Amino acid sequence: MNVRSQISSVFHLDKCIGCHTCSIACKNLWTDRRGAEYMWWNNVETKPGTGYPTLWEDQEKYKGGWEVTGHDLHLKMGGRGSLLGKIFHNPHLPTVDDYYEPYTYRYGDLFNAPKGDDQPTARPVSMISGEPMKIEAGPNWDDDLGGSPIYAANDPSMKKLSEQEQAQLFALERMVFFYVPRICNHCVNAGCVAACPSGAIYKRGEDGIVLVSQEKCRGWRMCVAGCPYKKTYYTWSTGKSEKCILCYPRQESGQAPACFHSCVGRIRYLGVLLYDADRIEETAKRTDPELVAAQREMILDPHDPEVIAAARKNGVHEQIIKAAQKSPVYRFVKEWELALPLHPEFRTLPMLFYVPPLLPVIATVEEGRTKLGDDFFSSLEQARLPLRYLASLFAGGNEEEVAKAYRKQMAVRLLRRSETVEGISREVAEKACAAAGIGTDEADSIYRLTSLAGLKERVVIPSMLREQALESIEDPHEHRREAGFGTRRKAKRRW
Amino acid sequence: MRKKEWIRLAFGLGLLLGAAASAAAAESTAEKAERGEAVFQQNCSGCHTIGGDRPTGPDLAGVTERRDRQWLLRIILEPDRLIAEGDPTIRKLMEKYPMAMPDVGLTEEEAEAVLTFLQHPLEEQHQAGETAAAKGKTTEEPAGDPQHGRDLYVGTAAFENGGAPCLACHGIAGEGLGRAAGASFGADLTNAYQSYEREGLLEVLDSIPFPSMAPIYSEHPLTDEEQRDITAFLGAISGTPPKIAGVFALDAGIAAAALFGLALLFGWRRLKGVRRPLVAKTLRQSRREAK
Repeated sequence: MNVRSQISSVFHLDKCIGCHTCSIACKNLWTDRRGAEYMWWNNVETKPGTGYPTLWEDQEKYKGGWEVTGHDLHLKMGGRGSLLGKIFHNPHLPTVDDYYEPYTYRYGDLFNAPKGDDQPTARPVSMISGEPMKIEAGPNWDDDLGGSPIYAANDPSMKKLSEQEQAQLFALERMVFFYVPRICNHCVNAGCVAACPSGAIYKRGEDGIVLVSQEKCRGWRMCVAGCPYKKTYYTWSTGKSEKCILCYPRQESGQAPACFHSCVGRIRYLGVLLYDADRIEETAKRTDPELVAAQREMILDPHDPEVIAAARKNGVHEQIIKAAQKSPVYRFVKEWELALPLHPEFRTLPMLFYVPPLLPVIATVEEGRTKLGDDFFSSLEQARLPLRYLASLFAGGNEEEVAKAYRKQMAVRLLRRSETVEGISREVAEKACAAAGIGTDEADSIYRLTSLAGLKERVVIPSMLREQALESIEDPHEHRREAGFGTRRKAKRRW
Repeated sequence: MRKKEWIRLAFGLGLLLGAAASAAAAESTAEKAERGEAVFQQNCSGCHTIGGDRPTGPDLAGVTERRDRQWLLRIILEPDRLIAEGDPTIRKLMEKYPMAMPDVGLTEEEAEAVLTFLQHPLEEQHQAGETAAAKGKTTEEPAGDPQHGRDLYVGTAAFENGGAPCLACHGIAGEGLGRAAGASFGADLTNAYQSYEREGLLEVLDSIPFPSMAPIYSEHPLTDEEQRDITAFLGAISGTPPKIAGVFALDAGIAAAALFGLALLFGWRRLKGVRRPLVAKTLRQSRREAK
């Protein structure tokens, strides 16, 4: 057993209201500068939809992630030989238009326009070229367009549905959408790390945060192609790639990452997971439907004395083990099996998990009155979005995994209804809990962590042990008795 | 009587003076011709003869009568421009003498002197030139050592005066020299011996008439023995078929690969994008359905 620690997260989609506050917090903090205008380390997508960049889930187009060929795991983008052929021109990279051309408005014209008969207008201009442009796309262009014949209809997961199911989704009374906020998954088997020819991308040993060294990066952009989630971005002004850093500078000072901190719906949970690094390869090679369960198996119980001993032996600090025991992520992912990875079939073993959203059931009109489904809170069959769609998003096509998570969520709802409002008896609620395979105690703790938890419970940041990490790189006493700390290290640029 | 004597004296004096003056004028033309001869020997005789025959350049005996003086001045002073203009006379000559005349860098004055020399070749010089040309073919100068010539050519042996080895610029396809050694600045010398013959080569190596070679060897002239050795070497290898087989095929291959690469670069799904085709396709479909 090779125990490693990983800071991972859960996004509770049933609570997401799609307000984009997370995106703005991240933008203001990290990417509000030249060369990074187009990138959104955090973005919120409407599903069904094509996302950002357009059709990022379609790996036939972008060739991201891994595939199992024979007995081996290979990057879908190709081996060294074929990469060499594409080194100056990779046809599978998204263009800036696939993200969107960033734009602003010439607001100055509103004040400086010469006097005339017409109202002055602020023309849109490209933030890259400065030229006037026609706005055709944006980072959330299909926001709330659940029934859009362009965006929703072209969602890659739609292809998993039958023609009839697809047609039903675009009937006016059945239209549906939900939000998927996305940041870097800080995968255990990251495609970007494997794709980088310069060795610039690394997964921090102590917490598993995936970072791009701005000194080593040579701008080959293989990470952009290799990441199936398209969460590494190329900065045109510096010629380097950048990505979500999970706000490690904030975490190192004990603060929640900006998107977690600012989340209005409080959907974001953060905590430490312990996992067995020896099982990475074997897990990533499993068949699509097995992947969710296999990844869950890879995650270890931080209360298990054997695991704790192995973790200690592997240099995982006592404080991190303690944080892992309090981790809300562990409860959602492993204990309750409520949270599922996004597109596990990309085989990068993402460490960001989603609690699938409970969707409204189909309403029927009887005698001129709108009637909601008979079984408002417990019917999966009547959900507007077919389970198969959600399974293709969160479970590699395994509908049972999604159904299990839904049954539990519904049981919790029924239990709360029986306790707080009338109409549902305790018996019915308990029956639902039993059907979902949870006790009422467990249902209660799910409810508490979902609805009542404060920031400190939702975001359990372990001690980042910077003093220890620093000692491994440099001697803190090196500059004793010296005046000052010497010159600051300048970034090495080779051109 | 006295008066007559006076007149006679004066007449005689006048005659004398006149003769002296005309003698002086004749001398200056001769001097000029002499100077012209020196210039000719140094710069032209590598390729041209007067009353002889060389495969490198036309014989110049009586050339001043055959051609316009202005034209002759131009061919000496700016041969490249004359050739570039496609002068018909030059074109005709080029059929027989394939090597284009180099610009040897004479001043206008020197060119005039050469022309004067060609117009008034001193009789004895003329003959001497002829006999020398005739003698050259027969006299037995010591033959050069082709092996040492090869060493000098390749650079394994150094020139006494420190000149650069020939291979630095000239390849010899027949010997498999050049290309790989990077020698592609000058002409390939496989057939040099055939076009220049021994006399011509010795002369070229002695006087270095080519302007691109002059700055390299003017400070580091070749010794007589070295000249003979190199000539012997060039003679020995003259006319051998090229050893670097498929040089053309190699070039063609590289060119084809480069073209293929370019075609791929520009033609093959070059960042076609995803969003625009997606939107366009969907709009097309919906329009078709609306119809």
